[in-house]
Amino acid sequence: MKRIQMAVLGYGRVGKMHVKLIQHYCPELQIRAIIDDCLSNAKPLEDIKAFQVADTEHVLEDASLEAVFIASPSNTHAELIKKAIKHGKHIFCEKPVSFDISTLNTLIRATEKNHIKLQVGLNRRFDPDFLLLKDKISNNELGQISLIKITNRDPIRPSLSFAKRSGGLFLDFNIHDFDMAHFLTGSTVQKVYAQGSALIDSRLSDINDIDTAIISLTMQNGILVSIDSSRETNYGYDQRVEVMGSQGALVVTNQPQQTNEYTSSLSTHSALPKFSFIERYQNAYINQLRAFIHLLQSKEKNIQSLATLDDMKHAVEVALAANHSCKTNKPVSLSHHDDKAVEKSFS
Amino acid sequence: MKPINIAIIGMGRIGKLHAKNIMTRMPYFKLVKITDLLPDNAWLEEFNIPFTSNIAEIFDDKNIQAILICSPSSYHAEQIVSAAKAKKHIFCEKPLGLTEREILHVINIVKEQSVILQVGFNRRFDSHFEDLKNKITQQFVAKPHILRITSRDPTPPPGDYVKHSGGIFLDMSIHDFDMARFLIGEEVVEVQAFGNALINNDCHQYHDYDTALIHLRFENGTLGIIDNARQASYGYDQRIEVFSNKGCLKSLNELESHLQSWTKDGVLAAKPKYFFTERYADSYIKQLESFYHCIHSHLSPKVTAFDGLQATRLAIAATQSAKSNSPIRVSPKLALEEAFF
Repeated sequence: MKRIQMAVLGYGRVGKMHVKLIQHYCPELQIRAIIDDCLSNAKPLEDIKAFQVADTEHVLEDASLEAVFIASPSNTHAELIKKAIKHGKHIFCEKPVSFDISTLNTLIRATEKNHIKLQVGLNRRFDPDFLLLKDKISNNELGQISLIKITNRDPIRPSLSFAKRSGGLFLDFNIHDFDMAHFLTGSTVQKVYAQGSALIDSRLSDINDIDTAIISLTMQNGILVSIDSSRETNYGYDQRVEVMGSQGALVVTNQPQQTNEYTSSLSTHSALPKFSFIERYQNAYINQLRAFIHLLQSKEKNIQSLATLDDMKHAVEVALAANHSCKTNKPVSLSHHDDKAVEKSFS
Repeated sequence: MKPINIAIIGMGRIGKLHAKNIMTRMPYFKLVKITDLLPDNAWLEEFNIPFTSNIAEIFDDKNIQAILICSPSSYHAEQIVSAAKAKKHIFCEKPLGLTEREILHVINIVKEQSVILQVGFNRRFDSHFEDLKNKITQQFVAKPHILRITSRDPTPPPGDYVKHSGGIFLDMSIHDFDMARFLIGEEVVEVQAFGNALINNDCHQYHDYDTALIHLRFENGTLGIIDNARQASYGYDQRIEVFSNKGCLKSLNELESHLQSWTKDGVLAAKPKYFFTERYADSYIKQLESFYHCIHSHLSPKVTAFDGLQATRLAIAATQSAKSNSPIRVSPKLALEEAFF
């Protein structure tokens, strides 16, 4: 079997995770090169050559390389995508790609013009539970959907230095929820109202960030979406989704670390939810890779990935609107001139 | 110990519920009279309750010490005033009135006449929510960051009811506004509401919502969100979650049974208890028991007229907010000066 030759750009926490998963679960992919300035700390990897960031162009010039896997810091994504397009390489790029809509528009046009396949790292779309949920909704099991509730809470807050470059809670954290609303409803967001505060760490206020938020979305098709978020539970990764329709509701609950329970005369104890995003979303990351492989292997003309730049752009638009809403304390409407996203979601 | 003589105005669903509870579970109350514009004679005969078609009789009867007001909402304020002037202690089903002005007037009269006025926010007396409140008071979650209240009816009310209900926020969410204030122990200073009517034709027709989201901003910084629905086909969904990074408290639904079915087709559990009479059965008794103790021991009620006022203010704010698509600020203080006219 001919393996797809790939270069990985970025070997930080997320890059390392992807490489490990690729090595264990994706024999179809062969990583030929990893680019990162901080590779000296990494364990030596068999058959993989390590490169410095300065060598990126040189690596991309290799004609036998088919795809790149971008897991570098957020502010490098757009440039690396442009370089990859220039060299005709197909692309996987971690979210957020860019916080700037015009940059995203430029990248969308460039990938289309150059027939470059691109998948973005909106991994939750590939989570088995959320896929089941999406399936049942699409099969009309709930009838007319009217309300979706999403709980997205992190176990431990990130450092203040991370917060400074993250883009803020909505762009960094809730971006997944905005995409999930789009993914599950098959509609785009028409209006956002976001309330947030720095209730855990007041220092975030000094850098215009928050750690606690409640967001309401009104979708174009009228469905209401409620998101509640916190940067820190201390009890694990709290990821719950509830969808209500005319025929009933579907609920995705948390995954406990184990299924054991302990009962005494005082109380009942059961396991906490999974504590790390890698643990909680491992299957999503693997499924996402498989989808990328399928995308690369496909001979179908004009094939779109299951998580496109358009999807990413919409999520970013919602996040930017959420920022504005929170700042002004007013609901913010999104203007829509592009219904391609709606059509695609129904297919 | 001599029981307190009590009368009921209104023989609708809730009036009958209270009557039955008083007669079967409350030896400290004696139900001496009941009135309604449209009496259910069969029911009256079955339970052998003295009836009058003349409401004035109830106010004039010196032997009646307390009155339960269970009439349609539009009559509440005027009936509280009549009862208060007749020196009767009053238990009134929510709401106390339809407007802030009406309620402020009622508060003023009741204060003048030195009678007790308790409002029927029975959920405060539910044992699960009492326990939740205790755990919050004992700092299980320190200062709450997020309050989530889910309150959904199994089936919507009939079109006629929807037409005159005052809308989902005044009719349904009002309980949740009270619960929010009760649990957090702080005033809500701002409300932003959104709604849709995608499921129920009556709601759509009468420009009401069948699904709503209501943001609450508390004075202490806690954020809250209420989600209401008129038609959750799976039953009466009443859940609460109180969260901070120190802990998370959840109140789940009481189920119809504890039976589960495990087959090759899946695992099935019982639905939540069907509606408010089943789910909150005990609270209806406990709230009147509390009312009795207030009368007997000259205490202030646990759910006061001010609580009634605040919940209505929030409901009115939510209605305005949804219509105007902007957040509405709510004054936390009782505007006493408005009460004097």
